[in-house]
Amino acid sequence: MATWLAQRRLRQQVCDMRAQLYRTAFAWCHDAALADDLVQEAIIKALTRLKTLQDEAALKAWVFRIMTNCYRDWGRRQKDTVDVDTMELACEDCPEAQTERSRVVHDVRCAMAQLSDDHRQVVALVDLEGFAYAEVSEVLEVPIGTVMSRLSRARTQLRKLLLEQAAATSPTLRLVRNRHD
Amino acid sequence: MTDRRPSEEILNAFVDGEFSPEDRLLTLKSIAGDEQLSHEVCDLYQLKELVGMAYRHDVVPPSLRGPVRAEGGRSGWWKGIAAGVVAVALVAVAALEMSTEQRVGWQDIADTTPTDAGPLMTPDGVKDARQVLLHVTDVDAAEAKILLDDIEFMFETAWLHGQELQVQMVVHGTAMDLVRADLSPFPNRIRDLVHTYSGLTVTACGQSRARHERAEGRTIEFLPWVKEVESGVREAAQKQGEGWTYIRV
Repeated sequence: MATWLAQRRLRQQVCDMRAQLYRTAFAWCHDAALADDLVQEAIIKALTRLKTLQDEAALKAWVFRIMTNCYRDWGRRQKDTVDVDTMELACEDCPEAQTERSRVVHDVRCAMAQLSDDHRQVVALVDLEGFAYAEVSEVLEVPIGTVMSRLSRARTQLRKLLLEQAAATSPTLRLVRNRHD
Repeated sequence: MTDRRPSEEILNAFVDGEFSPEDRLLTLKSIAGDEQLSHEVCDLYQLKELVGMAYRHDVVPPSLRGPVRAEGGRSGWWKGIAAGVVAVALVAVAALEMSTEQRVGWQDIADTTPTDAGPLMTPDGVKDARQVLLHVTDVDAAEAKILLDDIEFMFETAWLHGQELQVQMVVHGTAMDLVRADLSPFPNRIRDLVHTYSGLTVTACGQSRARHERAEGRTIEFLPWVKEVESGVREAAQKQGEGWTYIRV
């Protein structure tokens, strides 16, 4: 009975993660339909494998790892036709640049889309979901040092891209350079 | 510029709250002594904020929105913070004994009990552990309410024990909404707390405000009872250097 209740509680927790999973999946692929598919696939796999979960406290990282693998599988399936790391990701869900805020959103998403897949994954997990580095290491199955270096390089590139966008099109993102000169 | 400039990885880890209290203190000292470094750290905070804003909850389709983010970001941190804040108050106002190392972080503080405590001393040897700095960088409205409740509880507990207590909030990053005149979810609550407890100071980062103003193209005002400091990071570093108990929220 206790086990059944625990499983039921875990299933509910997995289902409650849908919005979080979707946001991260969307940040990875910038494709609403694909993000939805990835979330659906990850949740189904998580629910069917729930009994294999060793540590309930690690549920969130475990589910995100499943989604990471779903995304990798999708990338492998695309390899024959397109390289996921080099493809140009469409910002189809980006709002038009009508307001300052939506312009910032647009610019940040476009900059994110230009990062490599590895970098984009790390940034999304840390900045959107608040995962600790150790958890990201577990989710992506890479050493923690790799997480740190990827994140550092990703943010350096993000900042560079945003500054370039700001210089080219809009003054909005000059704010990313906190200078007083 | 200091001779031992932290690496980019270290600065990122600092911004992401990855350090132990001791390492955090060391990095804060480096930042406090270097204006350029301070700006770089502010840039990283802002970049983190921008990414979060670009994919925040409102971009998720309504059909997927549910009772999510119950943990509010970093897994389970809030319960620890809340427990830490309360524990700081209890430990501080009761003048329990505690070592300097134990005072550095909330986790250690939360674990400290009257029976295992050591002398209550600052690094300078001055007996005064009733100074708490709350570095508020990332809270939503629900978490902010808990934080304000905890602050009130700390002061009430201090008052019951006839003790002096100083608490300073340093707000910046994504938590700025909390102290903005146009967006704060609890303006009256903050006003009441500041007016009721003379030991409470609410400060906000001027650099963060300038960035938000540039982003939004308009002037941003803080609540009248909020004091502006030039740099939130530097203020936090300075206070920690003076021996204040530092808690990142």
